[in-house]
Amino acid sequence: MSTVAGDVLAFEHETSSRAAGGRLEGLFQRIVVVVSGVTLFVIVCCALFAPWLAPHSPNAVHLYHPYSPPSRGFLFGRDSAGRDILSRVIFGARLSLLGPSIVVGIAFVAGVPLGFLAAYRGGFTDGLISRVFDVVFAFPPLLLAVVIVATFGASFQTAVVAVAITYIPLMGRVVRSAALVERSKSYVEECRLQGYGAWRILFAHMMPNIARVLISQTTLYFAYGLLDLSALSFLGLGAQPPQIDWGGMLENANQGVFQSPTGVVFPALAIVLLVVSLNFMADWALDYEGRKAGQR
Amino acid sequence: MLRYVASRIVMQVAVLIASTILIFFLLHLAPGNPATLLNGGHPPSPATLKYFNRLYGFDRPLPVQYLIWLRHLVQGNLGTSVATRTSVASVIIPRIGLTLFLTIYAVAIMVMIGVPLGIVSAVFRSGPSDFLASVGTLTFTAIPTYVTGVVMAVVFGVELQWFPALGGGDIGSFWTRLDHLTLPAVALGLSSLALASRITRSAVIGELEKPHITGARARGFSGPRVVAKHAVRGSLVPVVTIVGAQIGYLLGGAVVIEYAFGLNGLGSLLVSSVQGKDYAVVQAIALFITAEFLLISLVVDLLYGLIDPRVRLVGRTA
Repeated sequence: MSTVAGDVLAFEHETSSRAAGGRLEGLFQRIVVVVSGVTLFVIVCCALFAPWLAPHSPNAVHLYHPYSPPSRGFLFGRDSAGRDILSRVIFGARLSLLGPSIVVGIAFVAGVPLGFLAAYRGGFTDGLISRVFDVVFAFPPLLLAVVIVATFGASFQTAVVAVAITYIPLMGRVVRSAALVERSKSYVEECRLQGYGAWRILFAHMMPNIARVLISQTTLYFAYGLLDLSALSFLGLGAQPPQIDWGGMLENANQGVFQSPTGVVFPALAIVLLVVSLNFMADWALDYEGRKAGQR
Repeated sequence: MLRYVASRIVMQVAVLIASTILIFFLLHLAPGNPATLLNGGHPPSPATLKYFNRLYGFDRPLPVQYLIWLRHLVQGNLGTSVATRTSVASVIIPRIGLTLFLTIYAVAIMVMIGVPLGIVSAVFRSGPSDFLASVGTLTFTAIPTYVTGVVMAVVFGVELQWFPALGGGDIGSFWTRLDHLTLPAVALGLSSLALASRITRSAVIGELEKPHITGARARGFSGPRVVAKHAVRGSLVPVVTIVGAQIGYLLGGAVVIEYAFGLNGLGSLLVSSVQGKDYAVVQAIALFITAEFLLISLVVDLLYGLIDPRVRLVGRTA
């Protein structure tokens, strides 16, 4: 017996590679993937080279020019404190990428071994791990993150760990359901007969076969992690000023949306471009898996 | 069937108990003293400490503390809000209605748009309408709900004045509330549209490939009838499942939307309580929403059993 969320993931995993994964086909898909890749590359470059790319200091306050519209010196306009929105979007890429990276990193390091273990050992181990996951699944994800932040105090670090905790069981479930399929195949039995240890079979033999699913899921979780972290920042529970992230910029711009819509538009656009690109990349990774399976 | 129902109920109650343990221990994991945390971050006075000891038994061993806390919880005694100095229950109860209304409204929007969209995409698979639907819904997933909310408040609330841009219509009839909550519910519902339509799409496609559909077609039933009566019915299980699971995300998303629209629901109270270090209220809201989510999951699991008789058999062997 598994929870609803687990079933959904298992279902998605099962179907997305054949039915839903065919969102785009052929040449068009290649174009979309290239555009997504370029978008990701540009955003990563923004994060890496922010000090050289940003035209102004992201925290330079000009109280005489709040909400000034886009101009030649300030292409995206200025926010409530007269800070350059373009520079803030560029610098914001740093935490907005770092946060989800740590989230998926933690989810991967904790979720993958747990999922493997549950699938490989079965029985009591599987039951125990699955029940622990069930308890975490019992909380709406964002709610659990908010409660953890409430307990440990609002900061970027707390928000990242809090969101990561909600992603560990998601990752664990996907790995478990993918590994269960692999486990029933004969090569696993052969490995076992040859006396290989559990971890060697898991990582050296089963891992390559579910790598595509893992890559695709990790990409998606990166996107959703970004949305969750931005939501926490929007609520004032994530990165604290003077740290800059896109969610925090949106919270700041929300109050002045009538004076200057650009403060909402550009950070939102950055989030949307990143999330959509990651989604297309994840689809592409799964599609590849589908094609491979088809050839076999 | 009875056995299936009983096993699901036992399961959900066990998870509920486990989640109360988790919430209880979070209080003790927090840096500093739990009494200080409950007192809004200030060291409690002797009188306050005495009150906390009576309510939570902080001077007793941990397992006893949990049982004391659980007993008070069952009795509906959730402690005192530091912000209002009244009982937590009296702060929370008036706000439950709005959050429930908002969530149900958003789920209705998600289902009423997402499911037909998914069916159309499945039937005209790989056509232009399929592509438009998937890219359109994906975009709504990628836009943070509060951004959709802000944009809609500006466009439909302020510029066009179709709906109120702020507030929850707290005093007034059902229709006032419906009017006030339309924009927030649409913003919330649109964020989950992609999931609902994609799952419907892949479920219907999976169903359309099955032999019984070919059989129905061969017997000369018209295309729309085959889709409506045979394919859609067979694909209901995953759709109901996804809707149930998504309600959890919507409950979380409602927190953000209430904050963005200035609605007096549980979510905005949660945020202000976190900011104001009103820990007893945070705990109570977390418990309430979790219990609500578990109840919904239970209902979904039971519906599952009703729609697909095979599920009941699984319950028997487990």
